[in-house]
Amino acid sequence: MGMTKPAKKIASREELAKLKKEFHAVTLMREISENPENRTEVVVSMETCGIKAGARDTMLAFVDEVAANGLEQVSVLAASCAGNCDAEPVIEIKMPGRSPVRYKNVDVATAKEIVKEHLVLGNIVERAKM
Amino acid sequence: MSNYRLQVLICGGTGCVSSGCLDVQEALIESLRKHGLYEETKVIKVGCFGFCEQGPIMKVYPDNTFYVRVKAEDCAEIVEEHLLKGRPVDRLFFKEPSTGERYSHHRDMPFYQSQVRVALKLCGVVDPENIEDYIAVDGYDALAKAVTEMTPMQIIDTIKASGLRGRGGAGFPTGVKWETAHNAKSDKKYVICNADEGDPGAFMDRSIMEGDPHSVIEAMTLAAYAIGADEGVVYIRAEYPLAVNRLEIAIGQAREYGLLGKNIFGTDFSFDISVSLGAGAFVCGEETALINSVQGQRGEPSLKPPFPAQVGLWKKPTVINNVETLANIPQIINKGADWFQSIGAPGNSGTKVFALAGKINNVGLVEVPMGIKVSDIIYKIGGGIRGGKKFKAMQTGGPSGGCISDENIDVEVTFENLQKVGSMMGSGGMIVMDEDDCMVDIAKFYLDFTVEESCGKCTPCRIGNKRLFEILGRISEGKGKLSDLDELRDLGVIIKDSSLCGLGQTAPNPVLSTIKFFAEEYRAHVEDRKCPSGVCKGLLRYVIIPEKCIACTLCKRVCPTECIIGEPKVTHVIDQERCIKCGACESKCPKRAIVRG
Ligand SMILES: Cc1cc2nc3c(=O)[nH]c(=O)nc-3n(C[C@H](O)[C@H](O)[C@H](O)COP(=O)(O)O)c2cc1C
Ligand code: SF4
Ligand code: SF4
Repeated sequence: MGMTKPAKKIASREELAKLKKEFHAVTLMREISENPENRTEVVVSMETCGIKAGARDTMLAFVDEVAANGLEQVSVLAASCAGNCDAEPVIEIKMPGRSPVRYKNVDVATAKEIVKEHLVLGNIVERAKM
Repeated sequence: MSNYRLQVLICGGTGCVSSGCLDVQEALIESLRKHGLYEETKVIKVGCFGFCEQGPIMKVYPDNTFYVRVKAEDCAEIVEEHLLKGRPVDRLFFKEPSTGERYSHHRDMPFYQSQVRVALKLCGVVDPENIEDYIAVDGYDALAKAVTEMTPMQIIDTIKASGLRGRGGAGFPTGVKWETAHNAKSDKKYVICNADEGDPGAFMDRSIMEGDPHSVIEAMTLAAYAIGADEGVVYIRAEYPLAVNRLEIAIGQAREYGLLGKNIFGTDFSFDISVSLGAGAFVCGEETALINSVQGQRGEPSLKPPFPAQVGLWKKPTVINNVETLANIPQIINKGADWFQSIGAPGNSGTKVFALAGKINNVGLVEVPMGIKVSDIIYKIGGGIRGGKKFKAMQTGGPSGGCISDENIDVEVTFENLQKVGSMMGSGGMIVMDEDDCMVDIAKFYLDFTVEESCGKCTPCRIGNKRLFEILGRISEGKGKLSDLDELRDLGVIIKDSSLCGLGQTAPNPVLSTIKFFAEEYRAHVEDRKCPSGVCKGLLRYVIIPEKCIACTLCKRVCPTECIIGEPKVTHVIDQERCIKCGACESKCPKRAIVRG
């Protein structure tokens, strides 16, 4: 659990701010989880049949895409929502103050699309909607 | 960088280490590996969550699940069910003893709800062995702002305006202390962090050092800039190896980033910190004794004034602050004096950390706003008295403090209020006592400690406290006289008035406060030769109530000295001469016919 790279002496407040931004990517999850009512949640169903249908890859794709798009207020969670096996992987997007939206058969490509369309732009991806 | 899907925090404070958190961490990592989740999970050993009795504690993000009393054997289930499938393991949630309710999130728990975290803000939140975590949550930005944009006087004015007072016990205004040292003309000045924490039962400073050492380092550096010092010393007891280790790691990392050393933030301000290990004498926590000890001399107090801020380490102006005092400072610089003033009570801004212990349901480290009622600490945070028993007293201030009785239970916690009711803030021990505790015995316990810890330099403390202890001993053995009570009071006052340092000046407090608020109990010991709580063995008698005795012989069979006389169908009696007061018979009797009398 040491430092990830050799340290360089910080010579100004600006340099500190830059480092803060970099390191904050790791502590951010702890911060937003303390006030979960303000965050958007991507809930991936992780039943045995979901895992078989590729829910683990879907989940990790969401994690990476959310980070790549700099979506700070989004958490990706696993849950055991009983869906039907044909629809797996099933995911749900819960945004504060809006009714949740469920998607079915979300593979990695669909996951990427949902992040771009739904999470970034606010458009529901109709073709995968449940 | 690969992105973490999960972060699991395991508390790694001394308390949880002794209850097995290292095994838990190992088992967790093994399970994560087995299920292919290790790459996507960041496992962090953090400082104390405060709820030590429930340790080891594990927190899972992003769910924000709070698990208590986690054992290594639980880890497989946590990984398979929760981390993999998203089904939290309910049986590891905290269960409130008084209501039976289970809580999955710490912020819903009554134990945390009345707490306000300033000094402990980052304990259990950041990885204490990784400076990156601290920087990520604005760490060292107060220092950056101070040395590049503020003058030393602006910092001192901010601290003064915040109203921060020393948490080491005396409550002296920190800004005023800094100003004195700032104004002292000298070629050399020092900053000392007092991490001696000798108060039995106290562990707030240890927890801060173990959970968030960088806050203390940053604050010491701020103090140094404010007063014009270039050298700092952390005086910490050698019995705190984990805290020493984390502190040394933190100092090393701060140096690597140039946050300690020469030309901090590219300015001409330079400062570095060394660690000085104390041998653990209580009196060495007293600031002048501490300075003597750092200088390699005997840890004996010297006469004040001059105060250390004028003539301190190596006779140079020295600011000495307590760990918890320091832990508040970066946030005061960051958020401003008004923010700090908005917490707490008038003249007592901010919070205080207490180590809550004794006969209370929720034992642990709590941080509360000043001005909170003692009763709220006991009932809201502490969850009430253990086993549904009756509250009797709360000892605050450790060996220097006193007992708060039922009649003062609604007192609002401030430096002044606690003194008014015969106790004191001290460093923050809070020990709750119930009807089974004897106040003479409690007073004796603390006095035993101070007699042992007196450095012996001055007579009132060395001999006077010993006399107090002897009188208490007599009383607890049933050999006391009524005049002993007056003598305790008179002698106690003399010792307080004539001792050189704070140890002697406060040592009689536990006696004086118990004698004041529990006079009846003292009188019962000397007049009736009885200890109402049945604690003082010299006064204890076990008797069998003849009307209740069914002559079953159960008690007779457990008595180790065979001093119970009786046969089936013949009422039993205890031969007091031979009874060793072990109490074995009392718990065996099916009719509760055996009582303490
Ligand atoms: C007998 C005795 C023991 C003390 N022990 C400690 C201690 O362990 N830690 C501490 O911070 N202050 C202790 N103090 C108080 C210090 O003398 C000093 O007031 C304090 O460190 C100042 O820091 P503060 O203003 O931040 O509280 C003790 C005082 C006395 C009289
Ligand atoms: S009061 Fe006690 S501890 Fe303090 S200097 Fe005197 S003898 Fe030593
Ligand atoms: S208290 Fe112990 S020694 Fe005394 S009578 Fe009971 S069992 Fe025997």
